[in-house]
Amino acid sequence: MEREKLSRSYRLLLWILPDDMRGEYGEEMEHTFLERSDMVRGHLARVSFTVRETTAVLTQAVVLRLNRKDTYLPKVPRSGLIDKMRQDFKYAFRTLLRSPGFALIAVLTLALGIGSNAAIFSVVDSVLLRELPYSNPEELVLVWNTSTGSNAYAPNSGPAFVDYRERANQFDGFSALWAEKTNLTGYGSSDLVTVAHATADFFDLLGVTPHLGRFFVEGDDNPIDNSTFTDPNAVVPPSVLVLSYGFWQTKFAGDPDVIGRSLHVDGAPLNIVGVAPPEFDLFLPESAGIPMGIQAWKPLVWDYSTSPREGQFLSVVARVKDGVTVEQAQSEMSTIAAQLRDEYQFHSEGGIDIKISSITTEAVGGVRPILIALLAAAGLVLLIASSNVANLMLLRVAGRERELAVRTALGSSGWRITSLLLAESGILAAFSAVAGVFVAVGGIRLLLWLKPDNLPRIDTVGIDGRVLGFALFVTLLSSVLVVAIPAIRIGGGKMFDALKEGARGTSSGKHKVQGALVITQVALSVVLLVSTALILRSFVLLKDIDPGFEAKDLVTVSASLPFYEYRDYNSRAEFYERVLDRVREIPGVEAAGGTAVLPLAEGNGIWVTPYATEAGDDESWNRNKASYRLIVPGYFEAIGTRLLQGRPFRASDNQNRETVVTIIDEKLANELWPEGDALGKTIYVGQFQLDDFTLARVPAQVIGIAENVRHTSIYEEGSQTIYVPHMQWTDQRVTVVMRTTMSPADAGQAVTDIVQGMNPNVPVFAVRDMEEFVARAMASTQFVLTLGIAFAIVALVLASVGLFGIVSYLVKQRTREIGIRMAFGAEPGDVVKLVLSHGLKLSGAGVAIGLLVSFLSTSALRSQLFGVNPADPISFGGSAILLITVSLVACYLPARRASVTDPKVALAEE
Amino acid sequence: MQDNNLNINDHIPLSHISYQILLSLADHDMHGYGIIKEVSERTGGAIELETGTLYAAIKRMRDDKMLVVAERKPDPGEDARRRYYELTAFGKDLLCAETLRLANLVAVAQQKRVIA
Repeated sequence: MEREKLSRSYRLLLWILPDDMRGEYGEEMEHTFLERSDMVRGHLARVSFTVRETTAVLTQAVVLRLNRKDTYLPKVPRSGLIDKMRQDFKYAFRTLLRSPGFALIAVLTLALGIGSNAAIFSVVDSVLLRELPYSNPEELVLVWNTSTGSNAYAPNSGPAFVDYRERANQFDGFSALWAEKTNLTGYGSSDLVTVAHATADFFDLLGVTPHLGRFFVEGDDNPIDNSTFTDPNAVVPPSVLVLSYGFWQTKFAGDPDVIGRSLHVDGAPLNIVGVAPPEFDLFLPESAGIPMGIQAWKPLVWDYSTSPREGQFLSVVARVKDGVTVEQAQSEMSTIAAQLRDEYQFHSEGGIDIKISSITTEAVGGVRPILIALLAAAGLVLLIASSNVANLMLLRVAGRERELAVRTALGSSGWRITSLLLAESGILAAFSAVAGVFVAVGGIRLLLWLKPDNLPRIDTVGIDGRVLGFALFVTLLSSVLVVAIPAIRIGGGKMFDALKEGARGTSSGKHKVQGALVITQVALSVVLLVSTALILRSFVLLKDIDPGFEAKDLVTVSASLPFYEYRDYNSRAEFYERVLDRVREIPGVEAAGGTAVLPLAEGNGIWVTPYATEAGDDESWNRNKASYRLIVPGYFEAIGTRLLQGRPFRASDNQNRETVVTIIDEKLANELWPEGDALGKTIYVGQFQLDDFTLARVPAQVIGIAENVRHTSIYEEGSQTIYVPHMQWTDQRVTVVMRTTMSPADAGQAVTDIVQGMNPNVPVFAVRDMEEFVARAMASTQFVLTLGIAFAIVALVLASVGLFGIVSYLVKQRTREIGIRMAFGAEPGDVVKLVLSHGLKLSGAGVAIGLLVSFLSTSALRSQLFGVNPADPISFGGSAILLITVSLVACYLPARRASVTDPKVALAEE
Repeated sequence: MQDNNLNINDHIPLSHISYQILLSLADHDMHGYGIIKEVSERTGGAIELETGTLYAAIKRMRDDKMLVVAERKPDPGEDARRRYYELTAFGKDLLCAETLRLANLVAVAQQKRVIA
């Protein structure tokens, strides 16, 4: 496989050779190349082998063309222009071969710029630019609810969804879905999989055709009786299931006979009817509460039309009619929202409004600013790289001034010389583009290794035609930049000056251009440095955040009871109680508890409940939303959340107890009882009733106050939280939380043994090292930070190389002047000072401009900053100091050399 | 010398790659990979010809009539794409001429006591 790929790449490379060469030797070369590559062992050796072989072919392609004797060429009179261009390329190639150091630095510099741009572009392309895999995705919108005083998007209630379908005219259709992790059994394995429940028209609405079998048909989503959810003896009618392509491949090895097979979701029977196409997936924002990577789809069979309007859990996708604008569609939905507020108490009291948003925008909305910022950073690196090479070119032109001046005097036009430069930069660009692709491949590996979870479709990132096209575009762009400045100078006829001035001219115009280039480079580097410093400071602050729990030495393991086997609340509570009793007996476990949903884990956003005090009215009940946590005793001690007042839950806080008890967090306690007397008070909490799908208002007595915990995001303080004991209101899924010094793998195995010893049908999953899990929650910051640091280092190196180059050159130009100064008694120290001050003037100007540009632009980074002002003086000052220090070093080396100038030699040089 | 158009003096001194290739083929015919291996072994790994460099040189040398493709077929079991190269009389003349030139140089160096 690998060999096949290698062989293909080499064959592709050979296309660069002249036709006759390739025709005669191509196959043989490929064969020999493969034989040799088989003998190369070790990763580094392979890389070096590949680079050498590639370079050899590229070099020979040029050499063969240059040495081509006229007999090989068609016998037609060649036009003067082509002939001249050929000469230019030949000449330029030889010139470059004579100064391989320059060529190498120029190629590497440009390759870094081209490669980093191509790598970032490949991500932008896959994530932002590709159309979503639906037909006419621009017509698809998501429908959301907002409420008074909050712009947050919430899903829709069942009856509201029915209202949309009945009342809206500007849409081709509405489809609703909901997803959860459920237990899949009955196919020789038991797994926890993400299953979406969707209305039967869902796939038709998106315009997707199945890879295999069929999707849902009308009637698949006929509602079943709600009693099946609570009555342990009720028979659950069979339904149908569509597998995602990935799940079908991994679990069924792509077996086409899978259609018609029967399996069980949470103990209910389902027949597989179809497989979705490979590229199909659903990309919804976090507020939908729907996990990414849905593995299977089943029809939504609950009777959602009669569920309460408070239960906003359905994500709604709609297709706007052809020719209807999103604004028109929105205005119709706003009208419907107003009607619903007139008709229903919940809608009026909550001030529910309906918003629609494009599915494409929502899929990438969160990551767009990150990617744009990274593309901008890569763009800056390209600018720096190009101006660096432009500067090198300028220096080379300066070194060949006499030659070029003679050519001009002999009748070469400015254009002719420019075309020589063009030929040179063309050759450099070609090599840089190839090297840039290697850099891009490495860059993409780095990006995939950093892989932040929140980039949709990142797994499709790779080098393809579009990325190569972009690399070509970037290459052209950079070569134009590289040639433009020297060409303008030559075109201006400045070359004659060289002859007139006797070659040792102090033509300050040229120095001004070079100085301006260096200032630009320094300024651009400052912008990158400041941005990176801001993100670095955010990251450091994030690391110091107290999330309200102690992540170190914390291992968590989740288990999920098959719903239909454990429909009785008590049976679930008892199961987990027994599990935890045994977990506490494991040697090395200091404390253990459980929770239905772990801080920072997915699902935190949707576990919410309304609440009210005894004095609170209906309106406050509908308006107030708090996070809602079911926990198993021992939880606070195990996870390290401090109880500020009162007592933790005990095993006796179970269903036999008459009053429901609750622990609330400090934030809620301060809000409801600012005098600090929350203990013993009663708070009303919503409890979901599975028999009629309503939310009952249940009084609970506050027995404790816990410190605030960042449940939904490490980046911001969470909402108010209400904890209730799992023994009173149970869920099928519990995450066991253990404080232990055991390795996560050992601890996970121990819990798995306990759970599966009790019931082998209960899947145990998601063994987590909490410390690592918290770090992952900062992945997007870490992603931006790592790339930012990489770009900043590249920029800093390039800028200091540029500075070094120009200062060295200036020193050389002023050798005579320095010699005279020393002959008149200047000390070496004076010379060092002279040179340093010149270099520092340039970098100082660059730093000043860079700081100004940063000041004007860093607010664009705001979404990535945490606790740091975009104008943070430490980041600005630190970057300035760093750059000045680096430029001091870059200038000191040539200054030192200047200071040991021997006046006699310097003066004799003329 | 058979062909009047072929002039040894047009090619002397030989490029070192050409010389290495001629030297490899001096005692028996070889395919491309064999030449690479032979040169590498003979020089203790100091000269590792890249595939592209080798075949460009072979092309040049064939165009200059130093080499031809040998009549012999690949050994059974070997890839049919594999071709063996052999020296032409002109190639042998060149190898000889270049070697003499080098030997003369060595002789001078010895006289000047550069080496013993």
